[in-house]
Amino acid sequence: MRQQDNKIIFTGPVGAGKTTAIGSISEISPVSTDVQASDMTLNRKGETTIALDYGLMQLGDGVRVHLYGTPGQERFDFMWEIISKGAIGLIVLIDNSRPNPSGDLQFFLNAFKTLRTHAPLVIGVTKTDQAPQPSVEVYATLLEKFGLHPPILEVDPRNGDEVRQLLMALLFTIDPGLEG
Amino acid sequence: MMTTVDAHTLMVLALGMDVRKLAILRMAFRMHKAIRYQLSESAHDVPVLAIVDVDSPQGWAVWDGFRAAHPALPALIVSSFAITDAPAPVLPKPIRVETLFPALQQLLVDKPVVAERSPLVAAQAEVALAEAPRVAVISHAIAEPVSSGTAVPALEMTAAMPASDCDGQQDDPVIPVAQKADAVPQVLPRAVAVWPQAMGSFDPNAGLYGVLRTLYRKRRSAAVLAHGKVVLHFYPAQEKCELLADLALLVQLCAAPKSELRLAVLPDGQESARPDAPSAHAVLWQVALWTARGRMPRGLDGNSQLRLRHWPNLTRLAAIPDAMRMAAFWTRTPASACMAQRMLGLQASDLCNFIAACLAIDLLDARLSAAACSPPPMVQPLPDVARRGLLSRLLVRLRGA
Repeated sequence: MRQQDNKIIFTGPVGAGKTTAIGSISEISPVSTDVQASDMTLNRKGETTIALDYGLMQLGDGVRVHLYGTPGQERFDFMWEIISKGAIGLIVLIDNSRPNPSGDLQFFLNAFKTLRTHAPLVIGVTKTDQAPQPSVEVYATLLEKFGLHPPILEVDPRNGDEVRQLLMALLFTIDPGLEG
Repeated sequence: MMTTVDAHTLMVLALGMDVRKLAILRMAFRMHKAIRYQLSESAHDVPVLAIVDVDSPQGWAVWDGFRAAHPALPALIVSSFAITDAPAPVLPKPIRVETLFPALQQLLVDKPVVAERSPLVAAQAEVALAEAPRVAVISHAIAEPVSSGTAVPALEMTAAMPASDCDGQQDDPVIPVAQKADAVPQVLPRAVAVWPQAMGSFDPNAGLYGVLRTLYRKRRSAAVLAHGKVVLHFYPAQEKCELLADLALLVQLCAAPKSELRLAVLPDGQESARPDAPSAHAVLWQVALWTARGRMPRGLDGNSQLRLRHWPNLTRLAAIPDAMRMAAFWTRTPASACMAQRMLGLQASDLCNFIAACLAIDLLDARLSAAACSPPPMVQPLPDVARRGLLSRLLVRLRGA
């Protein structure tokens, strides 16, 4: 990856909104590798991502920020480490309507623990209109046990402004004094 | 992208540092008044000094690359290790502002600055030299750590400052140009945010703010009445609040803390909130903003040490300018509002509103402290390369989209 290229990883369980979130802020039509779901994923959505989602933000002068969405299914976890190599930030989207969203969060924090050692983390909680609990406070209490205090924000992945706020939280986590 | 500078700013190239070290260095520069330094963060900037950290994974290769690119640029080496044959003055870690700035000034004294591309910058540096007080010489190849006998704690790359900086005094008042027409051009102090000497306050236990805050902390549901009429039903255990009065009335109640408020048991059949009712946090947060109006909750002041237990859910709360910066800052480390203002350059009123709102939703750990404006501890640095320029551009892009 060239010096001028930088990437941010969106991860989370099936149906959390990774593909939608990337699509809502990408400046290109997001590249997606969704196929008809053929397993238990079908219970949650008709199509699912089998390789990755890709979006792009261009900052001018050839500087680009690549947005990668990981496949949500565990059987594709071998790809997660490959995709996350060199990433400057990790956004975990948690679908609050799933049976055990707190367990999902712990799973993905563990899956990306290598990336978390050197890249900031932001949690986006989706579908809180369908399932308000667990609340942000519950997630914060859980994360505090791991010594983590990341931004935890409710978001609608279809809303580009809210996805952008996730990214801004990521930037301010790195540097609260960041100017721009 | 050219970094915005004024005519009196000295650009400093920092190499071998990660994003967080750069952030703290940037804040230290922001607080320094005698000479204005600014990190060089663009290829278009013209640095007049450099600081090279040789403890990064690239080690001395950073220095070699720097010297090859900038053969004449005065530079300071920073390291945790003893260096016996250093090619430039060495500043041992942990770095403190009281050693960093004298060392930078000494570089200017030892090697009158010749800007690499811009004669204007050299002239600025000479002006800075003329005005800057002379300081103790930093020796080349210092092997021993700086004495820790000073009042400022040893913090690596931490922007420390004396407590007096927070008392509302400007110690370098700017003399109007008209009064100094025949004087040597002055290096003007950077406009530094100063905590107001007389900051307004409000009683956090009074009025609608006090009532709701108390109910929330006790997780007690109740109907709140004003002038005999129910204005809201509060369900803290369910994180909900039903508003039953016009917002204008609620604003009035917040502005008049002596309004007669009464609590009543929730009526039968209304023990649970409507699913579409606003969240308790959203109402508490908004009531806090209507109440605080740029004032500090009584019992806290600019020197109180504050810490956020976690980020507020800012996408679902009323907007406060720079709330994300404040959330990131206070979740990371305990610090006073005065320090936050200094480091982030924010409005005192926004800081007060944010503090009042976080206090309302019980996120704030606060204690009064005599150790005014003590510097925050250094956070763990990221081992990644410095990418602040990229981050700034991304922030611009996100805001502009």
